Amino acid sequence: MRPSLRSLTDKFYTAFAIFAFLILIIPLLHIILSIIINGIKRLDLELITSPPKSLLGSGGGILHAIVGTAMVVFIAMLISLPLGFFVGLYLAEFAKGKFAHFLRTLISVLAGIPSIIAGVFAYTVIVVVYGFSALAGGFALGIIAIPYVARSTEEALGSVPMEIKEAGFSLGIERWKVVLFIDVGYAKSRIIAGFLLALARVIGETAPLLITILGGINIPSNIFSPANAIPLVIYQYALSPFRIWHNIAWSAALLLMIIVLVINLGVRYYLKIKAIY
Amino acid sequence: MVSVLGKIIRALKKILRMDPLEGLSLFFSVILIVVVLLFMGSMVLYSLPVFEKFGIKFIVGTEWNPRKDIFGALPFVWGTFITSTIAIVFAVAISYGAAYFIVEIAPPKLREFLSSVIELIVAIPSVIIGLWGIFYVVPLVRDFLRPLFLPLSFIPFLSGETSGYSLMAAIIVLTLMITPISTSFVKNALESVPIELKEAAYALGATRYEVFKIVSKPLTRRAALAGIILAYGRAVGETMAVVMVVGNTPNISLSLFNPGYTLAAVIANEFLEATSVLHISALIALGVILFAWSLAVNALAILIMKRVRIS
Repeated sequence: MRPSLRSLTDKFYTAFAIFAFLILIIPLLHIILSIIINGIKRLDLELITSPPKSLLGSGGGILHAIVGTAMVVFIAMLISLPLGFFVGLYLAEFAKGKFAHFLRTLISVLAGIPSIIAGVFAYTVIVVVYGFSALAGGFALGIIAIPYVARSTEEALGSVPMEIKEAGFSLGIERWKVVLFIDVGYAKSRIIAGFLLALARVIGETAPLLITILGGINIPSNIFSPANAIPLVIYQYALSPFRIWHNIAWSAALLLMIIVLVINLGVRYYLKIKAIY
Repeated sequence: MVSVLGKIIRALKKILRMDPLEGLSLFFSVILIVVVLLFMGSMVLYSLPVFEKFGIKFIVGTEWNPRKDIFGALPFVWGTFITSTIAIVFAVAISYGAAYFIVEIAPPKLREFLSSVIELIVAIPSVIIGLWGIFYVVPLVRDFLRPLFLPLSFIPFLSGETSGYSLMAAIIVLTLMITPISTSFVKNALESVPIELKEAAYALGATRYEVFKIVSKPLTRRAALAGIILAYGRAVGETMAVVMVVGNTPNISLSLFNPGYTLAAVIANEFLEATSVLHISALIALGVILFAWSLAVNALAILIMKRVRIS
């Protein structure tokens, strides 16, 4: 039988689909492989334990940036966890009608704002007062993390079965105790997973830090001093003309990618295990 | 007057009788609203000086020269527009193909794995994509794509010399970053099509592609569109990957091989060097334009998402 035009069209689209998939997946594999291959060279103890050194030697490490990232992310979590958690809890348990709709829309808007804009905001309210500082960077990242925390908390609490809540109410327990001890207790692991994913999301943010923490090579002494961060070091070193610094940029990228992927995979694995039981 | 007072008293009574946890979480929600208002308010306030001085000329002006205090945003609006638009066109074509592959062609056992690989890719920080772009995409544009398209250089979009740092490089990097997002949405939408509908079409003798074309694609159009618009929003606001490869030159040129500049990129680049009040105000005003742009894009996505029936 001669293949009809219809089956030819079908075959053609199959070929296109395979081609499209390869176009998508091959560059992504290339990104991951090139980061591993270029980054493994300098992923050593010196990288994570020493500050930058002169170009004549190995170029030193990125300890200043690791301390800076820890500081900035800590501040971001300090801002976003309580705010995001309680807003998510309010949406899941209490909010009704137009106000709930308004709040959800607001969170969608916040989630869709380009991260650099959060940096501009942090500039206008923190940098102009305290100067370029870890605090300003942490504030910007905190703003970015809020919608993620709020959404994951709302989803986690929404997954609590009605029967469990009703069991609590039927015992005559007050509402806030039911929500806080029964609902939050039940959804605990998913809420924490949401926190971790928000952390993984902001730890790689670069753009807002670029205009708030200034960079530099010093280990920040407090939250009001300028700082550097792992993603910012990747940017600065990538643009430099020196090979030694390029190598450090690749290694810092590998380090960052490992952190982000470990958190993401860990959360996925952990939740899937939980879901079976 | 009395009724207003009564309303306030009733509201106060309601708050007093409120569950303590409800009160606490409402308090945090109000704080969030205040923060967002402060966010918009402070950005508009800081951008006022430049809008006062240039008016509409700030948006349509083609010259950006901080040393002479002349600020026109059009080169950046153009760069943002051309890179994000072309990237989303590529992304849509690739994601329909890739989603069709994952849902219809790939073995079911692999489907889950492929989906999570694509979702994990979205988690890679954009500065890492930018780093990769400098060392692999920029040379690719300079040494491979430029010679490849040389016979077509009579087309304005493909004319001129290139150092590799170009709109083209930015488009490639952006496409790679947003395609996993749109693919994920299209794939989820295709998976949500009821099997009965597909089987009915197969029973009539339709081929796999025809089932996709007649049943799955029309049914999932809205859900897929919402995801595509969200991906477009990402492309508009993406900063790091673009600033590292786009060439950072404020010109309005048709050729994709020329360097360009985007709104997000110029904010990232010039903020630390800006010393004059007007320069900082101009950069924040670019932020306001970008803010409004992504707000409009997201509003559109939310509107479409609301009307999604299958998902």
